[in-house]
Amino acid sequence: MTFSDRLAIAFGNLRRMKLRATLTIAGIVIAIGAFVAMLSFGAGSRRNVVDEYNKFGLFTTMQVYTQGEGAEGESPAVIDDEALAIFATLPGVNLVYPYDAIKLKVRMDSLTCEIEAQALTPSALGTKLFSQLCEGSTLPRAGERGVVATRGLVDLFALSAPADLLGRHLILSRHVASVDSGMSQALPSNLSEVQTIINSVNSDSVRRQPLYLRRLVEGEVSRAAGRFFTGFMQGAVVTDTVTVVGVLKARDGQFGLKPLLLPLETATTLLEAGPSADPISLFADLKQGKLLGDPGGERADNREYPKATLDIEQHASYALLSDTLTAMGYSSFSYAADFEQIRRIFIIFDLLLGIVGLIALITAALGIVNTMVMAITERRREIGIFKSLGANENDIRDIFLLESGLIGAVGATIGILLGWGVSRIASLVAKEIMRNEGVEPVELFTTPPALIAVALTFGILISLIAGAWPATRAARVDPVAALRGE
Amino acid sequence: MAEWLRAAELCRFYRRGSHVVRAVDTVNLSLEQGEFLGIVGSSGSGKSTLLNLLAGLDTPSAGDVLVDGSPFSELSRRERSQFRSARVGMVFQSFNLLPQYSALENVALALLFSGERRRTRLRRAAEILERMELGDRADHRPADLSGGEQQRVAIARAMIKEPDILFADEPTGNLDEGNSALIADMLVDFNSKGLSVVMVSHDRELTGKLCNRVLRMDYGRLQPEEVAP
Repeated sequence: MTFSDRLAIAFGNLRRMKLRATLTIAGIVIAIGAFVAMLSFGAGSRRNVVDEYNKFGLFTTMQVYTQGEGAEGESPAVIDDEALAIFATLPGVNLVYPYDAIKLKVRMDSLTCEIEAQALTPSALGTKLFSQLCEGSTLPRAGERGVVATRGLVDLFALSAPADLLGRHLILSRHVASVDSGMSQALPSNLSEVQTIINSVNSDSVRRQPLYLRRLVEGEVSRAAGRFFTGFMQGAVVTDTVTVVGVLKARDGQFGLKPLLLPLETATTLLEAGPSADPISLFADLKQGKLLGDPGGERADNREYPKATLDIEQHASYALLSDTLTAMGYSSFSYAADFEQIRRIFIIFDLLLGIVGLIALITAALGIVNTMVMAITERRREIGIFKSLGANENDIRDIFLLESGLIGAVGATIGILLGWGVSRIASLVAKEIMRNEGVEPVELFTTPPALIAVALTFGILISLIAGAWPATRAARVDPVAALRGE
Repeated sequence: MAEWLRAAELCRFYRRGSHVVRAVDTVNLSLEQGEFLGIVGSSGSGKSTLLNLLAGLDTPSAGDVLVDGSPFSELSRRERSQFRSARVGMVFQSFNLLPQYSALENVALALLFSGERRRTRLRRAAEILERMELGDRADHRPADLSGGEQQRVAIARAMIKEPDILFADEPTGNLDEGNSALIADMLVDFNSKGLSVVMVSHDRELTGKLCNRVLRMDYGRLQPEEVAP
């Protein structure tokens, strides 16, 4: 008995019990449809995250941080220009740029707000992370002092759309401490005041009262120092006017982005005007010897940064880079490693969805068991005749198994189409809702070929498992009893 | 003539609750090639059970059936199926045709398990139906055929394999006189061409007319005295 003979008999039997077979197949269709739709949602969600990571180049980005404390007896490793140069030589590293945040006041029309801006080199501005724009471009036009904003700045200026920020002029101002300003306050403002001091110091009083003289000088110096510091802190305000040439899709805060991205050139102009007048920053700089130069003279032109970003090659080893950086005394973070955690969550999510689908499939499989058991009862005589004509147990088992398999195959095929159709409709509806809510629409469902293959295999496999017991029972039917009609 | 089939101390017992039914009880029997053996007996005497045991369709509780000296007990289930498929034809009182298939398909079904291709099966089925003057009924389903026609289709199904032996269980039991005579003539004709036939019937007169040898079955035992044909 050939396979095609068995298939023809099985198909003929299903055709004879149309209604029952249709209802059983419907159970499989619904189960497989739910299975496909749910896992398509899982696959779609995962794809969206992967796309987002790829879009922003996060799989090829690594952040390097300084560690709080160095090893015993060693000063902690710092991220300075020298360290950046070393990072750039590490295998797999394409580009290194520091994270350099500057506190600024930004004025647009009559509105002013305080923000932190991030200074970036032109090559850094060319990386994927800063290339996802919703408006404009990252590169300023010739002769333009351009900056790129995130959508956070759009919100800060209460603009309705990112496009409204494009081409607008921003006045950036930075309050710096200034020695000139300090000196102008410390020194007497006119000659008459100097004359008064000199007159008060006559030769008699100096000769007779040296203590008085010392007190007089000390008092004047102390007052002058006080005036110098006040003047130093009052400092000056440096300003620069820039034009917004692009608005990033990412919001500020996302991937550590600040509301405003400045070309390094613009930032340098603002930074070179002097140390920040912000007391905390100022004292930090003083403590590090930055204001008056490092005693060793090494750090005067060597800036330190809290962190740096490495743009690395697609197939570079994150683990190797991370180990190297750790050995150098830095800590690191890669989005690719972070994605591994997300991937685990997605696997659990997919498993949960799969289990729900599987439960539906098992329920449908019970329908197959029921159908096949009824078929055995009804076809006992047929089994007896087949056996009297020379059919062996395998022939009978195969016919019943094929019937179950056919139910599974037909049910799974239609179920896959149903699941795909449902996910398409749901996706269209979801996109429409997203558009109405002002959110950029994304594809929520993806039905990869592997899912179709798995669903088809599952449908057929579960059906065969469900049919195995009835088929074995059918194979063991006693032909004598069956022919007697018992 | 050489002995072809032999039943040795053949028993078939059934358990009905606490009661054991001795359907076939220590039967010894031999059949020669080309012999037409009749087994008569009243209903429930065990003659159909004996027929099923001889055809390899049922498994004995004790004893054995030997074909060409080879005992059934040494054959696997698959080998016994092959034996039925290749060497045995069976005809039943209730015809046992499958209602969903046409006469042609029912006859062709007998070749299904011997590995013949579908086209060959249908061609040979058409030929045998033609020989049995049922060519015009080939496409009819059993429900559209008379009892006699159904039994002729059943005989065609048994004979299409060109078996060594035909087991007929009350082949005329459901037929009128005319059709019974027709079927009887067919069986005699096949036997005259060398086919061994074992027929069980409660009709002593019919078996007397057709068979070379008739045995009587009573309460599961074959009676030693032969009924004269």
